[in-house]
Amino acid sequence: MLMVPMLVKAPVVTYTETAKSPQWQNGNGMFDGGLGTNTSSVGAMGDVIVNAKYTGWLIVGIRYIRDNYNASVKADGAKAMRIQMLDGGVWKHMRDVTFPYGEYSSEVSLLDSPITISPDRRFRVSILSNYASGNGAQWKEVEFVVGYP
Amino acid sequence: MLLNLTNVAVYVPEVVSSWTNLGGTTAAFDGNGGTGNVYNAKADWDAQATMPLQHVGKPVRSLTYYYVNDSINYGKKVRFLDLYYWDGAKWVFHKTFNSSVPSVGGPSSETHELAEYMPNPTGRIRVVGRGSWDQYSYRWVSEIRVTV
Repeated sequence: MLMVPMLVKAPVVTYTETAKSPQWQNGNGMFDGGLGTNTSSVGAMGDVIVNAKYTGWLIVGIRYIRDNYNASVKADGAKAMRIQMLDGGVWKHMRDVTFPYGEYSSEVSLLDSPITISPDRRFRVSILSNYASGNGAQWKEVEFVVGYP
Repeated sequence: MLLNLTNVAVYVPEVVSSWTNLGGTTAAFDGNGGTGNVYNAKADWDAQATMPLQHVGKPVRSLTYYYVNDSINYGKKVRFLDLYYWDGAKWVFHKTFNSSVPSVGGPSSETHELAEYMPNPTGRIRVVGRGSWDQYSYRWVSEIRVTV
């Protein structure tokens, strides 16, 4: 009997973890590694330099943690966020992602089309919109999920 | 050159969270937001459902998988999600999504945005959760939602 080998597409990323020990500039509390409560408005942004260990790794997800103890704060949850990366001294638009409503902590996966971390290792995340009728935006922490092939 | 933008449609995402014609592992599509009925067993789960008529025909743009993040159950997040649509005669496989490693107190949902939108000719979709991160091989699903 002729055996036809099955072609199995291997996952691009074989290991993932939450990025540790980031440095931050203009962090706005997004990347400070703690769970303080930060409230600002749509348009707020945070810059981060990920650990040198991750040079050449892939960003495979973004996690957004916030308060959810009452309905109004739920509505102040970010809806869309923009990820930019400094590459050769230029901020490049990498991805816009949308988070679900009402979750205390949620992740948008980028495993389908991950971002390769540039030698600069510098990223900027900004809040494009929220779920509220007003302009408030609230978060405790933003994290990157990183991995390697 | 001036661009005429008056005819540019503005996309308003619709979150599909209510379903009918539940089949297979119904916890995935029970529409309760993850409370109450959950799937928690060692076998892979396989769930099918039909979305309300007003969403039929609109491409599926993202899928959100809800699970749990407590210290006992966080590892039950599944490793792979297979997404299908019903073309009127058969299930058509669209894509497999890998999940990232879970953590205690970490996210309780993971959204996969589809670079290639999934056709949605009948409103019937199927999601299969395979494997898990759990050392005891339990799988969990609280809810599945999609946007169209």
